Amino acid sequence: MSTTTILLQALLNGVASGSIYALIALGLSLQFGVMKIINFAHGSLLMIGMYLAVWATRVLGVHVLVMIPIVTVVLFVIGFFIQRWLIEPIYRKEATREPLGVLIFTTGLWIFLDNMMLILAGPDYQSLSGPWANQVVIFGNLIFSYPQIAAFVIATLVSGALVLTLRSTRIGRIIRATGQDREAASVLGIDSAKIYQLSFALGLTPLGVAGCLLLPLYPVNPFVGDVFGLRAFVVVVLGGMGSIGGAFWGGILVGIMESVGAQLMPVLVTEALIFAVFLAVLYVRPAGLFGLEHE
Amino acid sequence: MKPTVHRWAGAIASALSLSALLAGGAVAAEPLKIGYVIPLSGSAAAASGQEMSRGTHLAVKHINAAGGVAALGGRPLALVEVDSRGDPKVGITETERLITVEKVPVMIGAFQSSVTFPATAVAEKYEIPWIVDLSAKADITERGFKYVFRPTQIPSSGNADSVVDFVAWAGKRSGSMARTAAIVFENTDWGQDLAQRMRARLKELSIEIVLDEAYPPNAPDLRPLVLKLKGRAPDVISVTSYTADAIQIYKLIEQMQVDAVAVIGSGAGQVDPSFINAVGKRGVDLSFTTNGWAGYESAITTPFAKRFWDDYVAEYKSEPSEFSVVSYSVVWLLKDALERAGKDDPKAIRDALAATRMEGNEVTKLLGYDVVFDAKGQNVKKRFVVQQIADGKYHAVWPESVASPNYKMVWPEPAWSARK
Amino acid sequence: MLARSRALTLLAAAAIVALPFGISNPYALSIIILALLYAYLALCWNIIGGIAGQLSLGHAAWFGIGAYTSTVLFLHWGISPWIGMLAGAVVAAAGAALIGTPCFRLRGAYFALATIAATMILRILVENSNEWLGGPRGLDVKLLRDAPLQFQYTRKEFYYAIVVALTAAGLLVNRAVMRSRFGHYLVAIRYDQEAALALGVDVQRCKVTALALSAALTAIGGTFYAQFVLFINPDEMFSISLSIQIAVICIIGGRGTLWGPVLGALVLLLVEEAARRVTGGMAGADMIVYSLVLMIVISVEPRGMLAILDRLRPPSRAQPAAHGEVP
Repeated sequence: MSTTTILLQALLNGVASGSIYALIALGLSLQFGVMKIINFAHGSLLMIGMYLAVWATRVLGVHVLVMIPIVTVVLFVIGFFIQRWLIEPIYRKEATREPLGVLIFTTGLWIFLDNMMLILAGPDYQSLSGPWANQVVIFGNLIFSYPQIAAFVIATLVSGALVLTLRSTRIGRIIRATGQDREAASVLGIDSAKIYQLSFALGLTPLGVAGCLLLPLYPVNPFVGDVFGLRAFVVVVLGGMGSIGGAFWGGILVGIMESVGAQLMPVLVTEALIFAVFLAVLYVRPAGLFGLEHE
Repeated sequence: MKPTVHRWAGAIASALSLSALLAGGAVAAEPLKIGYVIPLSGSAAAASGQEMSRGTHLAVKHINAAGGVAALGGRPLALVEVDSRGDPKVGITETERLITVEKVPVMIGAFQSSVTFPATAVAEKYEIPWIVDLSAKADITERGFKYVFRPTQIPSSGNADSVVDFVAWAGKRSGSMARTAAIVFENTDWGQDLAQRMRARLKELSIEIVLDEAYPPNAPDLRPLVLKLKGRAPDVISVTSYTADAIQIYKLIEQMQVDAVAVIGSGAGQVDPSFINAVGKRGVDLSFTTNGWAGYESAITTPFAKRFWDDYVAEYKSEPSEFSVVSYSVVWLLKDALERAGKDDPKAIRDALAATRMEGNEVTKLLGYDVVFDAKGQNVKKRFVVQQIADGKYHAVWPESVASPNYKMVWPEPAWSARK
Repeated sequence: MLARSRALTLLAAAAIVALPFGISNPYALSIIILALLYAYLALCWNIIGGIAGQLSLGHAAWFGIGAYTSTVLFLHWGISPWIGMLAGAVVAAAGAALIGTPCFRLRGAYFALATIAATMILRILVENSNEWLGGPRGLDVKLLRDAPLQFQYTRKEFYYAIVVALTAAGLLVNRAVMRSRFGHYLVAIRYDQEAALALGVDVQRCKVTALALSAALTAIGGTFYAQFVLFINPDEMFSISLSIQIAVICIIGGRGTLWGPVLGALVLLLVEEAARRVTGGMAGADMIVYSLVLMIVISVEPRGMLAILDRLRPPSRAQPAAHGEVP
């Protein structure tokens, strides 16, 4: 196969995997943008979404894509619960501008969820098997699997929907306003507590989608969230913390870097490269490549 | 005088032997403790660790049911099991606890080299014998230790040798030698050791290495790596991975239709019980893998082996793989040593282990090789076999002495477009 | 009152010295040694994470640098790890200055992320090194059995004494910092960096100095660990979980306080042992309990357990400076 074909395939693969990274990062970016909190339990919640999908598809026998709305709703509820009952009390107590107490709390939540799942589900890897997951579509010399195509299409649609909601709808504007200036928003009669609950919960919904999209591509185990969670942070920083659109493009960028980079240099170096770029962006442009937030 | 002495002598002798019997009987009831360190959680190795644990427990059950250790008065065995969680620190502290608090006279474990290596140093310090189960790090038996024994594993260089020897043999047999190869391996101790040996041996055979890459274990996305494989189009692909990565890689090879003369695994992820199901029959069909164990057709040939297999399947609802075969056999090996030692003294057990000569008996038939230790405590007789997976089952194809009699090897593997 | 607290201190010191003689099995002593090491590491972290309030989640980097520096010097040039320990501290301090300077321009959460990234890069670099740094298989410290001048001994009491000394040193350094003007600057930075800047505090230099000090001390802990366990590898030395654990111990106990880090380590020890006893070593059980403790503590009293204990104490006259809490 010619190098060009390989590189083209790599580019498109990267876009597909990147769209999933984007989806995972989107929620994180939203939570940070509105509440300035960093949710270290994000990866673990993705993992919970994946386990839900695995169990449901096994028990109900439905196609994993059908599970998307169900898992999404469950995660929304979980997110609401976490924000309302667990995070809010700490948030209120924080004297400083940066809610580090919440960050620490989510760290505890991360460890708790991972180990809880270890006890409930065991350490074994579980994956989705079945003909659909392995089916491919061939365009000339390029091959794409059904899960890849589904991932790209659905991830892009959901991301687009989320961005549009935040930019154009009334509730979206309210959310962004609260994020920018809590006091001003409350003067306008916005109950910031309710908005925070909504935002946090909304931030977890892409995880429900991403979890279902990932399952055909990658086996789940209690610690799978760690890897994707870290990737999500890289994406969010690249894209600009708080910039939803930035998170999307950041995700695509990371996906392409991983995929194309691996063709041009050893795979191990690609991993280091991504972190190096991450650090470089942090220093040179902390607001991110597409960021609109001012520090 | 004489009759009185005789009478008293008899009485005293009877009293002594009676009390010895009673004391011996009391001791016989108390089980002989075996310290067992194994990963049951906390890392990717936990799944394998759990299977090994099952094999170990089953062996203890069978041995006790058959009357325990005869030379110790029918004493039963008891495992004092500890979860290493894949953490060397835990391995070290728990080993110390097992030795100093539980007072075990012998240790078994710990699957992962990173745990076994430092933990065996602790055992050596306390002069407690340790039987290594599957840890492949070469240095484990290269420290001049006297109390470490490795009956069921050889350093991964042996694994690499099997792959290359097989490729050479298969090429000669079929008349078309492989000319290019790709080595793909996880970036760990084990992966690098294996790859290093494979590089050297492939060069000897003048096979050109067109791709030589390590990847981070448990990587989120191995698609770029497999795409690279496709681009280089090697004849032979060697995959050295644990379960999660192996599943990903083989699925991707099928999806991306990476053709090769042979895809050969290094017997880790590829022999995990979940592997075939997770990848799917079509994805693994006709691929090869080394295996520390020759498989059902070649090894389950005696009543002893059948009992192991049937009991394991009945109790655990899954089939044994190398992991449980090895852990099961190790306990029987220990029993053999205990019978020869005649006492539960660590040094005596150590000497009995060193003198082990198990050849052609039911345990070695299950394992597929004899057990004889060299001066370093390494079993020189263990070797890897190569199997081909066909129709969801493993068939040994090399060396010819253990090849499945009813299976005909397919070489080269057919192209993906030609498969159903 | 002063005489009473002094008597208490002497009693406590005597208990600490007598401890190893009262424990018959080396296993228990090992656990205590590791717990004290964690207390020490938490004390080191406290300087930058507690007093100065900069959430570093990459302290494993310094720990690893210390372990690797002394081990490499020992294995390749036969230099005693005692000297290697000091060398490790210097390298760590230099690294801290190097990484800290750009990183500290970032705020809270960004800084935390940067420290994580820096540690990951360090891990990847060491993992991909050749035999010199050992690559992924790590390095084995050559077993010398009894060689106190080479920082090795077969009896655990040797290590116990050293780790107690380290913990004491950690406490003394923390106290010295808290009482110094430098320490007050750090506290000011912690509460309101802009205000401190406006008041003329050289914020950047203070932060970098604090990090360098913290890093150097942490590195010493790394050397101790390498000599105690005799085996290091990049996965363990530069692990995110270690970084998080160090920070969490200090936070649970009470960051910014003198005894908080020690209390936090004690809590961890108790939780781990209790979880092991109750569940019989069930996988993940101790981590579940520990994370629950963390979440509860941070919800109830973000200032940590020391503050909780303070609240339980009946109100009395002025608190002695014994636990040196900086308000």
